[in-house]
Amino acid sequence: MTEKQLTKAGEADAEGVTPREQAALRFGKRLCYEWPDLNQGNYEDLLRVFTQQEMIEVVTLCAWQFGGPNMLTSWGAEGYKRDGKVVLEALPVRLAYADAAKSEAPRPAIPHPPMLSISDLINRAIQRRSPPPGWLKFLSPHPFLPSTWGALYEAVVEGGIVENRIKQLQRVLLAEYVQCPGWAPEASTSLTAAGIGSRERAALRSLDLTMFSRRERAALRYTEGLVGTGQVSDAAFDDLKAEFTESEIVELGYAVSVQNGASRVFRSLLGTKWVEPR
Amino acid sequence: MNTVDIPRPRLSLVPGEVVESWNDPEIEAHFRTSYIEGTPPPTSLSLDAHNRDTQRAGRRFMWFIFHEGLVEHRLKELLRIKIASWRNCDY
Repeated sequence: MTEKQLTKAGEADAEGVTPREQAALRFGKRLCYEWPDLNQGNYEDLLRVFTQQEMIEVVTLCAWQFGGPNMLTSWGAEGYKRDGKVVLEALPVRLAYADAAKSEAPRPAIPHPPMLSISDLINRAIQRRSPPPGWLKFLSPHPFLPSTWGALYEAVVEGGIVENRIKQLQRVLLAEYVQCPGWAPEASTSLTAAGIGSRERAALRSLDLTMFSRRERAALRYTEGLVGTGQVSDAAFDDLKAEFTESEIVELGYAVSVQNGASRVFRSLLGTKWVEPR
Repeated sequence: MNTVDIPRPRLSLVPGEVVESWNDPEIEAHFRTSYIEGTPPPTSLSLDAHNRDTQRAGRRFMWFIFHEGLVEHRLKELLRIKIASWRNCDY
């Protein structure tokens, strides 16, 4: 594909783009610019050129791409590149396996991850109401996405090293921002166990963070940046670094990113034939 | 003279000797693949290596949806590039 074709891809008159690519790009663009207006018609548009399993894969990829790269940008990943490229010799440390990369030795294959039971994932989601069981059921026809997405969600939102209350506050802030309370319903045992009720939810809805601890506020400002504009200011990141280790920041970033686009897609699926209304 | 606004790194890179001390074949495979494929860049892997469990879960999700799925890879690359552009993301 030429640079010109790549620039035009996603436009109605794009050239060099297959009907499947055009449909996927239409969905991705709508998610980026008009996510509150996503509806059943957008999924039916995809199903004209994709099978249901393929549609789930396209939608989930779009949802990840909505937030994942912004997380890496928030960590300053681009600051380690020179003219857009990684120059190993210019980095402040030697990266892992950089020497092996220069050898002729064949690279080891990336092993297939263990597949988690979909019914176990859904049962845990029903007990916690986290993530919405309807989201996992939407993913469930796909051969591996319920497992890999569900494992990531459980690792960084329900598990991990940062206290769970902070991850649950992130979840509520995100649900309120995208106007999808069903993503983090008040009856969720994960929220009640973390002491998060209607007062906290109202504060997060109005972005009045004064009732929260300094550590919670730092995490929530970081979340707000990723969920809102996708950009995190230097001041917000400095506050985050004052309160969290780098290991914790990585977890907080992934906890937002796994939900950022997914919650918007889930919102648009409510009441369609794929997800029952709340 | 024009100045170029170069973003500053905000998290440190985990040194190679730390990651290699894990003797973790799965993480090694992700790193060594990144030098060949270029995506994700090894610097990104060295950032999320600050949290090994998160890295493993995140990289499993990303690798398999990009490389092992049902949909053609070119389409996914297109989505990756265009969504980053639409989200005004440099990455």
